[in-house]
Amino acid sequence: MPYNPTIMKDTGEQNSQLRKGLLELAVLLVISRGPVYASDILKKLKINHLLVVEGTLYPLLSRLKNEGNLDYQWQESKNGPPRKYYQLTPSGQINLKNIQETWINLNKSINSLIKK
Amino acid sequence: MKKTLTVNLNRQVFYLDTDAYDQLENYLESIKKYFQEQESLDVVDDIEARIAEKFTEITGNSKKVVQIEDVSKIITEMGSVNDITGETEINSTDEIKTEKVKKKLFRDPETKILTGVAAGYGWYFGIKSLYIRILFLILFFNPSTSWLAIVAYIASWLIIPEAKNNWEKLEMKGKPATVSQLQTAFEEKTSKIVSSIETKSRNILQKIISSVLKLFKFFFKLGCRLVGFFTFISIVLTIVAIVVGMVLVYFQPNLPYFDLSFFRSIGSPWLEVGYVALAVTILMPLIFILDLADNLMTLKWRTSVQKVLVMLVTWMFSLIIACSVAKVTYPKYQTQLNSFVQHLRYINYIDEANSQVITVTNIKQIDISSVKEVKITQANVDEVKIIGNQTQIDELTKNFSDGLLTIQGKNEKWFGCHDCTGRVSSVRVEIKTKNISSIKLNNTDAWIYSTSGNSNLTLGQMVGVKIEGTLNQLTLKSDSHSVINLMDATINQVDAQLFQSVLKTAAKKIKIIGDSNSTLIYKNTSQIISGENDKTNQQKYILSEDREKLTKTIEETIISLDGVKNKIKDFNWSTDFETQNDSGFYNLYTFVKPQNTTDVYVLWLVEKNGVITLKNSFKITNWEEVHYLNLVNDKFLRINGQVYGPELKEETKEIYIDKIKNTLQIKPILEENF
Repeated sequence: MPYNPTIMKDTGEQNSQLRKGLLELAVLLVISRGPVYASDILKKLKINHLLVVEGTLYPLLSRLKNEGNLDYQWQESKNGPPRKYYQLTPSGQINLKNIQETWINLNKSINSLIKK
Repeated sequence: MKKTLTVNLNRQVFYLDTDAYDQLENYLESIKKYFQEQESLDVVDDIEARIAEKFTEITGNSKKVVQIEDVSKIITEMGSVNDITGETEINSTDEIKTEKVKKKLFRDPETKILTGVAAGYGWYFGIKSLYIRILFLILFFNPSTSWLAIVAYIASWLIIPEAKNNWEKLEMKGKPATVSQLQTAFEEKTSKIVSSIETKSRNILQKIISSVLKLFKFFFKLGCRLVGFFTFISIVLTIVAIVVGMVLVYFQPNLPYFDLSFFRSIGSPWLEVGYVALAVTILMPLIFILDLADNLMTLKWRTSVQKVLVMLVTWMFSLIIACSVAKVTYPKYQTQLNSFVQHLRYINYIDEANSQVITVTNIKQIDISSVKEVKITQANVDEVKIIGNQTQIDELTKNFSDGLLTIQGKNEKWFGCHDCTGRVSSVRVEIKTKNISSIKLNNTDAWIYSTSGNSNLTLGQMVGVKIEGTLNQLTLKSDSHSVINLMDATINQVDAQLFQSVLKTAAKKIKIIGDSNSTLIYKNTSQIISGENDKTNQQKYILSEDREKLTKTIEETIISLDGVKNKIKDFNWSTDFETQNDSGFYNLYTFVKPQNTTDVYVLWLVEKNGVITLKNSFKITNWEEVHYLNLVNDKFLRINGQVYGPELKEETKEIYIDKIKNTLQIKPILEENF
């Protein structure tokens, strides 16, 4: 699907704040499905409207790596230079689980509030 | 046709249009700058890799060239630094926005005149670069510090790097490094690039023409800046001078050439209102020119129509006020002026009708200062007589003890005028004495008649002295600004020490030592012995060879005085004149007194190759009060020696006059030809 940044930007400050918070979880989730490289992550995030601009991802990856949540390996690609493939570290998996649980709980509470 | 650049991005080669390249470079630069500070350069590599990937999508491994539109699209997808940082660093975004970048010293290529050193310092210290430039100029033009200015400037030029990109320019200006700032700068640059691209295709001839034009443009701009700069400085100095002058005039009455005591009679508040209005009327046009010069200097037009209108209205308003004040206060001012003229006449006039005698016996030394005239005659008696108005006599300090006669007049110096004599007491001291061996004079005009013996003459400042008669030896010391005329005296030997003074003598033997501001004018029969380190200018005094012939030529010369055209002899000419040789021509000075008028004209004639022309004439209305005249620097006429010019140089022409009642007779300094 064509990516339209202008529409995404119009969704407003609150939405963007919310997305910022969830982006980390989303990225961890994508990576937890096995080694992926940045462009794959971008594709998945974009499909789910979780990302405004692509550049955002890289500082986040860098931070998660520095916090010890992920790790990467260089792998040859068919047509082009080697790529960084990201995967979760054991501590990253634990963190993901914790965040996931928090999210599910939060989701429940918020949903019940919305329904009332 | 477009130029293409080869780019290595993530170890892959791409071809980019120059404009596309510039945009990409700017973008990556901004990213790099940001993450460098965050110490996570791997992010930059990742982003570069992603961009390379996107390029590959566009070009598909062919040699397709990446266009600026492609780069723009990719940047939009990747997001600007603002977007990227805004999404990840939720908390720190605000801090970054307000945090000031630590200022760094760069040379500014945008507002430079020479190399941008001054502009860079200007940014760094947060002041207008103009002040830095003025500082450099002051240092440069001051001989003792000019080496410092040159070394400092060249060192700065070599050491300080030029601000080449937007980040550096922001750092130089110390602007907050918000990403939007960078974005603005980035967009400005992009638009410049786009506009320049349109003119890029050209052949060699066009290239040559354009580089000549560029060179011309450069020098034109440089010229504009320099003209603007120097205009700016001179106008600023003018404004400062006017303001300082006006403030001084207001707070200090009795200045020599602008006496506000006239205006003071107007009284408050007219004086203050009129004065301020006058100041604004004078300054406003200067401020306008200053504004224009500022535009020229910075090559930016900032003078708005509103500004000009405000200035114009202010100027007209102040002009109207000044005129109104003048109109209202004119009668009062005129009354004041009349009484002031009366006062001037009073203080310059020696009242011959009144005198006072001082009892003295056996004068050994004479010390007189700040009186208008002194007349010392060597005789067989001791007598001191002071002639003048009683008030003027009363203000003198008179003392006689142990043979020392001291008479001190009142000397009111004019504020800030070191070389002015100011006002002295309007009296004439007439002394008859057996002993003239020790005479000290200061700030006065003196005439000394001696019959024999030796004399020791010490002169302070501003003394005009003429000695007549016979004298064996004269020891002379002159401190400054004096004219000593010994031409009419027969003197065996003169020992002179001169400082900023003029000595004219026909003595047989002259021992001289003096500074370079002093002049000795001597007769060619004199023997001159210069002391060690003597720097006086020495010149022979030459008069026109055939005085009789010259007299006839002058008589027949037709001149025009106040609209009346006549031969000089028909103007009631005195037939006496003084000549002065001036390399190839003669300056002649003489007087005429036209009939049916009380006015007297001093004529300055020039004789060249037998033809005489009138160079200038000075009209004197109060002839009765004139005792002698000075022509200073061929421009100023000083009456009674009351005011000398700022410097007594060799150009000073002097004319002494002897007046016998109701007849005009001029006695030139030299009478005979030699």
